[in-house]
Amino acid sequence: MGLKEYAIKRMFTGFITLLIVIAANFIIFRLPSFITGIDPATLYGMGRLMGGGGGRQTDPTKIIDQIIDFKRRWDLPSLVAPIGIWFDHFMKYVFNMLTFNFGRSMSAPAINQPVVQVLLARLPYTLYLMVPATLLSILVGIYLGVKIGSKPGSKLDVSLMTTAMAIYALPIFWLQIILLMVFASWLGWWPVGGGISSTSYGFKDPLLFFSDIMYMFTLPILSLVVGSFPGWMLLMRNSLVDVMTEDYIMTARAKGLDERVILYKHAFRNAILPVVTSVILALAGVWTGAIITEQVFNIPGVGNLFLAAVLNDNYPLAEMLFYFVALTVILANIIADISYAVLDPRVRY
Amino acid sequence: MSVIAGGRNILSQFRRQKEGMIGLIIVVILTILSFASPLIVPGNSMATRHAELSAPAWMSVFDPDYFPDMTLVNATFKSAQDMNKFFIDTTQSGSNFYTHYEWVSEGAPNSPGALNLTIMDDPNKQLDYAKPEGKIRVSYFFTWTKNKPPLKFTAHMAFKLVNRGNFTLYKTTAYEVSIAAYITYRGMSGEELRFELGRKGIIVPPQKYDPEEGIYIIEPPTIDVGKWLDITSLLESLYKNTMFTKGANLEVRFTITFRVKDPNHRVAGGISVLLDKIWLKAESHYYGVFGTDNYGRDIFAMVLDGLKISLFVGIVATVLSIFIGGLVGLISGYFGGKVDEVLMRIVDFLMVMPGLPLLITLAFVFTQMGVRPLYALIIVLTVFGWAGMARVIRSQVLSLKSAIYVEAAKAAGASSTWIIRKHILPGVWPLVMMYLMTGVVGNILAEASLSFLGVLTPDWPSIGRILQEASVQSAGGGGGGVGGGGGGAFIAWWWVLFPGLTLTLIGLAFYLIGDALVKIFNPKMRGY
Repeated sequence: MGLKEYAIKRMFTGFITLLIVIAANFIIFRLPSFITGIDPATLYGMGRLMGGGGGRQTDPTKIIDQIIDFKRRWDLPSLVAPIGIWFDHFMKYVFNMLTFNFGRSMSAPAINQPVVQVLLARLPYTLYLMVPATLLSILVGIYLGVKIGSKPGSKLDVSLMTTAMAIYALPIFWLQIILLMVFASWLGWWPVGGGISSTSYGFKDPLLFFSDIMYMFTLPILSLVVGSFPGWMLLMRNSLVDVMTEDYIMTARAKGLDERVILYKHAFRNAILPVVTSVILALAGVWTGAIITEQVFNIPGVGNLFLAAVLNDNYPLAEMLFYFVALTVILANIIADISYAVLDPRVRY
Repeated sequence: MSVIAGGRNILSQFRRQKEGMIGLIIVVILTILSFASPLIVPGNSMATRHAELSAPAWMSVFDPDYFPDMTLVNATFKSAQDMNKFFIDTTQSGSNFYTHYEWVSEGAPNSPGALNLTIMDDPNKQLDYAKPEGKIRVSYFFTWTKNKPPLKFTAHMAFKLVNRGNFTLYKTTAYEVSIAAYITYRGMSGEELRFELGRKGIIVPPQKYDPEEGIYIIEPPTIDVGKWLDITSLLESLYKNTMFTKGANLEVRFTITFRVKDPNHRVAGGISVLLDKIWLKAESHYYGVFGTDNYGRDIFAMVLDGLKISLFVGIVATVLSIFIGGLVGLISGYFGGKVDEVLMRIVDFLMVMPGLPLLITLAFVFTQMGVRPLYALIIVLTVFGWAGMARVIRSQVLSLKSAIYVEAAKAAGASSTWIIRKHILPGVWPLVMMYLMTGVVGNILAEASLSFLGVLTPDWPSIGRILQEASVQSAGGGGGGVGGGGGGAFIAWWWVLFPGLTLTLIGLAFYLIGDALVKIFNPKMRGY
């Protein structure tokens, strides 16, 4: 099987997986409504009765009108509608998903706004957080991985590996609370509440805005780097250790080549290949943010949006987010596999 | 090599792995500790035990001003001797009142005796308008000798009110009764500072005018006649820190007042108040192994209880998902074909869904279906845990299947079950053991994260929840609790540090065991 057929096969299975995801999204987010018997329209009506979102409405007939209007606007079939109506609704939904027509946000956050806009509004903060964090942890991880992978069993290797295991075992939010406690509360270098400094909204100068965001995001980025560099370090180390046992390395040594040349010219170039695959996958996941980190540091990013979407029964938003995650992961996997094949001619299908 | 013989071999090799043994010992110790928690820290871990935000007890070593918990007085009135601890003042009453105190042998539950204070009005005598009340004060004087105030000061008394003569509480409206506790500080230059510790007071009849609504509200009676009641009260920290200075003269006073409200309807009678179980406690700044949180709960006890849940969730969810994943991987890898295609699409699907939001959604769904949140969590972790396992086992089975000895067995006419049992399973077994260890850590952390986010409202003691409360209530950050926020002081570092450290320790221990297993199963890794 050639590379082209392999790519086509991967795209086909990826498309099947995507269809499963689309169908599953439809069911998963509607399950709570079916179990409790309360659909978003009723929730909306109850919210109006309690006085949330645009003033309190006490007239029952008006509320019923509003519920009917809500159902019409979001095209919601009744929970007890016959299966045929639900099937039509489902088919319409699948078509919308495949044509990237995601509709409007149904409840908090940002009710009535197109969900794509809601996502785009959150995206910059998540990218400011995740891009530096991911790149830094990859760089630190690769650097340390090469360092200990070239001398496995050394004191540095053992201590860094144990540190890596300890970091794997620790809950990241705990590390973040400790960082907040020490640097924000005790030393007062950052505001305890985290978040984005209110002044940054006022900055017209993009450079000032960016430096302010980076100042505010120092602790979250630091915690993310500490939390995820061990993964890269381990990957790099194990890959390098594997490569160093290959015959051609022994040949290079036998030729009397300098150990540094062997390491960087012969071993590293081959050992970095599996890492490249993972880098592609990691970069594809950057936009989804970090739910817990964004919670701890009050960052209005995409991770928070995920949480808000699933907690508020906001079907259109949750469906779009989950769909995009599946799409990016599937595409990234295909790209990673193909680029691996291109980079490493030994790979055969 | 059969599975069991392999297991025995692993055990003997495992003993030679130093890090692995350390991990095993940590796991065993923490497991024993968590299951022995009813013996080590008896009682309900969610109950208040000591002053709020007490530091860990061993911290007292570094404190030159350390003092232990002190019970300044603890009077159960075993005999009349106990009355001598107090200064009883009956001279503050109007001239028409009769006051009297004595020791009686009828005490509060589990107490042999009590102090009986009686105040009666005599309507035949002219009302003393300057002092229209009968009053008895029971005072305890003490000097604070420590360098710093206690972390918490509590006063307690039990009392029982009995009607005397023609007076009936709540029916005779001419009198008011109040029972109160005060603390008074007297400085060197005669300045006084007084704080009311607590009061069980009543206005007779028990009505209160509400000026906003323009009506009388009937207040429920605050004293039940003929029943033993308690006043437990603590001193606000502002007063406490002002009053409890070194060398301060302090007085805790319990006052019984019987006041004439309506001079025209006086009766021949009054009240007797039995006082018992008077204690004053000054609590130190230190308690327990890990200190206390802002409800005065023992963090060590909570962590041990939470650890039990962590281990339960971690192990049960991991074993279940490894069982399912192993089975799927075995079937998928060994039989291949259409079954493999279908199963792998399901695995693909599970691997591309975003984990945490999906966990939250599904856990919520299960909880709505009436499943206990803890079991819902285990189900959800299992549903999502098996996919990765299945993929790993499948590829292992695929590589084992193409081994020459399997081909030979097939050619010799061996059945599928025989090949799986004799050739495939022994090769899969090491992977299962390794994934068991890493999976347990993953699931322990998943439970902690979900509890920390606070979206599940866990009904179990969880280390994640301790950390959530620590970050929301003492700390800022708004960690956990969706949309939480606000500032804080982070004074209680022990509240944050130890729960997380315990989680890290148990996770690290499992990893060390897993690492040792890797080295045993993969000889290439030995020596590294």
